[in-house]
Amino acid sequence: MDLELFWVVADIDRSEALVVRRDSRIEKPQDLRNKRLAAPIGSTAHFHLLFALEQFGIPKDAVEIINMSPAEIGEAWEEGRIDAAYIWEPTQSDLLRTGKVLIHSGDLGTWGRSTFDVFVARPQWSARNRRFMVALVKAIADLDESYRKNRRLWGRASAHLQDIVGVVGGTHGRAERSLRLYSYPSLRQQASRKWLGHGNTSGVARALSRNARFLYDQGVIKRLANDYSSFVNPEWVLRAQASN
Amino acid sequence: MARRLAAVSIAVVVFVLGVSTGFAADVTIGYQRVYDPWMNSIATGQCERATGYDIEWRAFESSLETMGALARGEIQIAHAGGTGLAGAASVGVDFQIFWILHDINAAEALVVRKGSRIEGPQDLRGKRIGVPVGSTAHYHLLFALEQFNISRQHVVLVRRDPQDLLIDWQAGKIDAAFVWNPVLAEIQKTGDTILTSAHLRGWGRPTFAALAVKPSWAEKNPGFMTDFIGVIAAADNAYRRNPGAWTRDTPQIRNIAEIVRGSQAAAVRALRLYAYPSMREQASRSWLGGGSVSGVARALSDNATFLRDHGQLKVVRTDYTDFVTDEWIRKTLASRLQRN
Repeated sequence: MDLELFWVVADIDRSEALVVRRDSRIEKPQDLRNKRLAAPIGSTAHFHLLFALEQFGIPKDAVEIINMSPAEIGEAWEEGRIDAAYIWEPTQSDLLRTGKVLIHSGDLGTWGRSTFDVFVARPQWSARNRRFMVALVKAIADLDESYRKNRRLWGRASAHLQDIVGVVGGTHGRAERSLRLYSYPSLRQQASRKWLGHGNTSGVARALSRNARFLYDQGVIKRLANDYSSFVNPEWVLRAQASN
Repeated sequence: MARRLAAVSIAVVVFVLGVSTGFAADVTIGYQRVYDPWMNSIATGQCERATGYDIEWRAFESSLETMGALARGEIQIAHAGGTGLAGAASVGVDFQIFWILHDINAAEALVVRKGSRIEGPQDLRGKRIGVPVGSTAHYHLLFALEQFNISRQHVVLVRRDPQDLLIDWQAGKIDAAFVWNPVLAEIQKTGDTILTSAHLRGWGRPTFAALAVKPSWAEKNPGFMTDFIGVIAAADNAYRRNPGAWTRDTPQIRNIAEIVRGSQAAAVRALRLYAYPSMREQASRSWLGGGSVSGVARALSDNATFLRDHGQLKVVRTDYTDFVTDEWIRKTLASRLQRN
C-alpha cells in the first residue's frame, strides 16, 4: 500500500497492560506459567503479551493464550475463567479493581518494542498539500504540548475534556484517566531516532518491521516488505519544527 | 577479583570489629549518606531540639557496619537497608525496625550500556553485570534474573562498590549495572534503564532502608522514640506535600547535599526517585503493622532466604516478626491525638 507514516499520535505506554487477578496467585512473572491469559488476537496488546512472555523466558506452550474481545475479557474475568489479560482502556480500569499490573506497554517500550498509534497520509496527496501538512502537525503538536505542560487545563470539568468526550463518547473520568496513561511525544522527540528520524534505524521503521514479522508468524499476512523505512516520513515534523 | 562475602564474615563484621569512642552523648545514631528529607533534620539540629537529647551522629559506609556497631552497643539506633537488616537478624543481633526511611522505588535501577547490544532482559545472557555485593541492589538483580528465567551461569556478576562500578563502566569492562545514586545518574548518561526497583516491588519484593533500635534502650527512652519519629515524619511530610519546593538553592537541599557529600542537583533528582511512606502507611500491614503478616517481616524473610541461597548466610530464621515493631509509630500517632 502506498502510504507515509508522518505523526505518532500516541505512545501506548501505560494504556495497555498485563493485568493479573488478585486471587489467581500471580505475584511475579514466573507465576504466569500454567495460567490462562487473554488478549485480542492480532492487536498491539497480543504482540506485547507474546513479547513479555519471551522476555520472561516463558515458552508459549507453558501458558494458555485465549483470544477474546475486550468485552469478553471483562465477562470472563468476572466469572473467573481467566487469570490475566493484556488489555487497554476502559477494560483495564475495570480489571484493576480486582487485579494489579504486572507489566505495561511503556516498560516493554524500554525493552525495544514500543507500540503506538500514528497518522498516515497518501504521499501524492501530502506532496500537493504541503502547507496543510505542516499546519496540521503544528496544531496537534501544540495541543499535545498544552496537555503535557498543564494537565489542570485538561481536568474533568474543562472545555478540552468536554470536547474529547463529545467526539469519543464515554465519561469525563475515564477520558481523564485514559489521557494520563498514554504519552505524547513532542516534535523534537518525534524527529529523533526513537520515533520517525534517522531513516531505517528509526524506532518506528524498526517497530513496523517487527510488527509485520509478528503478523506474518501469526498467519495474518502472507508476505513482508524488504524495508519499512520507506513508509516513514519525518518531513512534516521537521518542517513544523523549523517554522517554530 | 570477585570478593565473596562468606557466611562467617557477616558475623565477624557484626560482632568483632569496631572502635569505641569516648564521647558520652545521650544517644549515638549511626547513619549512611543517602539523599532523604531527614538528612536536613540532622543538619539543622531539629532532632536535638525536639527530643532534648544530646545526639552523637556517626556516618557509616554500609549496613553491615551500622548493624555491627549496634550489636556491639556502640550505637543505639542504626540506619540500614533491608538486605543488611535481614543478615543482622539472622546472625542474632538484637534490634527492632521501628521506622521506614524510604521505599527504594525507582532510586535503584538496572542500566545497560549503549553499544552493549542489550535491548531487553533476554539480551543480558552472556553479559557482565556489576552490582555492590550484599546490597538491596544485589538482591533485586538476582530476583530479576530469576523472573527472566536467566540462570546464574548465563551471566557474569561483577561485585563492586558503587564508585568502582563507575570506573569499570567507563572503562567498558561491564555491560550493565544495578546501582543507586549518585553513580546511577552517572551511568544513565551513557546507558538505558531497563528495570527499576519499583518493578520488582510490584512483583512482591519491596526494598527499603529503615531505622533499627536496641529494644531495651527504646523501652527506657519512650519520649525520645516518639519525638524522634515526629521529626523524621515531619520532614517526609514536608517533602511529600510539595516536592517542587525542594529546589536546588533551598537551604534544605543545600543541607542534604552537604551531609551526603553530593551535588545539590543530584539531591533534587534523587529525592524524587524514592517514596516516603506516611506514618499511617507505615503502621499498616504493608510495612510495620500486622505482626507476622507485616510487609517488612516478610521482606526480611525473603532477603534472608536470598542471602542463604547465595552463600552469604548459613542459617535463616523461620520468623522475623520479632525484628519489626509498630509500637513507636502507634505511640507517636496516639500522642498527637491527645495533643490536638
